[in-house]
Amino acid sequence: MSASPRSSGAQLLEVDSVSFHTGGAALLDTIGFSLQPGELTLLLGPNGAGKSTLLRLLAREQAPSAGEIRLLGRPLSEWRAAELAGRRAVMPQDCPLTFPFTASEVVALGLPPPLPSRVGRTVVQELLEWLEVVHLAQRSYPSLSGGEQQRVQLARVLAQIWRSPGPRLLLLDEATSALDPAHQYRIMAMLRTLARQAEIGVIAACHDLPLAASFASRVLLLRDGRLLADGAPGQVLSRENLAGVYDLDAEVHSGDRPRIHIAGCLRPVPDLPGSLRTDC
Amino acid sequence: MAAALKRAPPLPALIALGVGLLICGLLALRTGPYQLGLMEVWRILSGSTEADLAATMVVRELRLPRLLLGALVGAALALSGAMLQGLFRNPLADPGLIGVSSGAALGAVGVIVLGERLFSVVGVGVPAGALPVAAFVGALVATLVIWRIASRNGTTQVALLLLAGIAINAIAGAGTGVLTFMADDAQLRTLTFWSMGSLAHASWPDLRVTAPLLLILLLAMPMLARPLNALLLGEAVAGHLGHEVHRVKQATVLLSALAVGAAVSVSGLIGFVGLVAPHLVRLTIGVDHRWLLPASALLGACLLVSADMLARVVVAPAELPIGLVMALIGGPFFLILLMRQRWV
Repeated sequence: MSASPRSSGAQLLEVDSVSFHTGGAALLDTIGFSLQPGELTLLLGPNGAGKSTLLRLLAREQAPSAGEIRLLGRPLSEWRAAELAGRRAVMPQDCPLTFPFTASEVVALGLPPPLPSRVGRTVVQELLEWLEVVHLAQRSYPSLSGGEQQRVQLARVLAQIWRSPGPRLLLLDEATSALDPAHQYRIMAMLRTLARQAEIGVIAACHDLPLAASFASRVLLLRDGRLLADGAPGQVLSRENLAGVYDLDAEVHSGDRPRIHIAGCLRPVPDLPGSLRTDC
Repeated sequence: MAAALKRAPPLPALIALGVGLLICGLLALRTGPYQLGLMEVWRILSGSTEADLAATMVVRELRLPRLLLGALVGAALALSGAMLQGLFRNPLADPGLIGVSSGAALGAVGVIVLGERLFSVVGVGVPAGALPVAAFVGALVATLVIWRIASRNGTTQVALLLLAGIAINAIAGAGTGVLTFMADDAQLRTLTFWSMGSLAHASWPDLRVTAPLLLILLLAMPMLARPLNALLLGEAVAGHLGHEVHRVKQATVLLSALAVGAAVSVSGLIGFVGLVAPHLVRLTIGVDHRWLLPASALLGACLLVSADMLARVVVAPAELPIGLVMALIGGPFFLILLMRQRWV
């Protein structure tokens, strides 16, 4: 089918001067980076910076206005839908489900069609066990807590690419934002293991700076549709960058895994209008 | 809430439904004002020469086409309901919801009330196929209008689709109301009977037209089972999973519109099958469309065949409209199930 990825020496993902405009506004402006399997890349930036837009383009939900995205050396637009589904999986921020599928049925929804059903059952079982949700297998998905649903969804997303040979891409859009810290850290640690031990490159949009500092192998910093910084957490998560991107006054103890303490906002908060004030 | 879902294994359930349909069918062939023994029915079906001539006529020319039509219509309505509910991600969606049934109704009522006047202009009587064709066209026009409104830039918005369905229902309902108002007494009787649904006029020529169409639809629909499963997770996710979302939605709407149009054209308006059958199946074997679709079709067929049997027996020698029977059985049964079982 496609050119063998390893023989061509292509990157897993190449984003080449990608821009995206809608209604005259530039949501993304000449973004460029590339990604190898094994990397856990966290995509940071304030609301409206273009993180979700970038992920939508990478997921091929929309096409870039300019520039090109290549997966394994081949333009994303040239992939057949089923072929692409075996190479890249996408986990949305939330995934509501009105019908009472069981958790294991939800995971099975991710299985690619050509997989024999016996193999499929094994994959579902492996994933439920690995993500520590095997006790939920026969529970109704809508009755699970947010954290449980998120882990089941992650299993579903992984089922899609679990048995595909070769390098694969996993995209997550704030997939852990609604979780308690314990689950956030657990899932992020699992993603890191996944990236290291399988040939999977992960890009995850995220709002949690300490989380990114602890787990990312690489951080992309977006603001106003531009890629401001790209590198190891120790380089990108600097006092200057956090001030420039988030207007945050942060103390950063630099290192490979920088420790970040956010002291406050750089821009002063305006006083209340006089009519609302009761202190004078 | 922590309990595991209790569900019947799907394959045995499907087999049980198939056996149930066969039993319902045999009972339907022997039941009626002219009661027959099961052995007699068997002799007639197997073409034995010992069978009574009058009984043979009743079974072959009246009950058999009626049974087959009832089973096909029931299966088509149930399957359309199950598919539309999947498409709308709403267990209460019904073929009537997107306006297809009322579009078909408007077409059929138009022929009943205006047919004679229209065709006398050309100097001919109303042709036999005019009513089914009109119902068909009504269903298709309704679907295409809704589709046109709800589809923008290659994507379909489910909310718009539902809202457009409400508007089409209102418009078609008003049109049907005006026609009813214009109808004379004889037409009103036909119209009433038809609008309450009936299989009483089932005949082989009827079947020759609708059976192949309904069979093709019944066989085509389960091919959408996997994409419909994925669609329950949302359109974006179905796309990520490698499905051609727009084409799946298009196929779902067109197939169910055709099936409902065909069903309405031969049997009038029969409600509840498309709502009750998939519901019962979901409650017993679950929501996976690969099992849900065939099981709903079988259960829909069983339901309609049984309801038709009741319709013929309860006030014999007269006959109740099957639409009423379905509503009388289906409504309360459904309510009880709703009260006993939580969705989640």
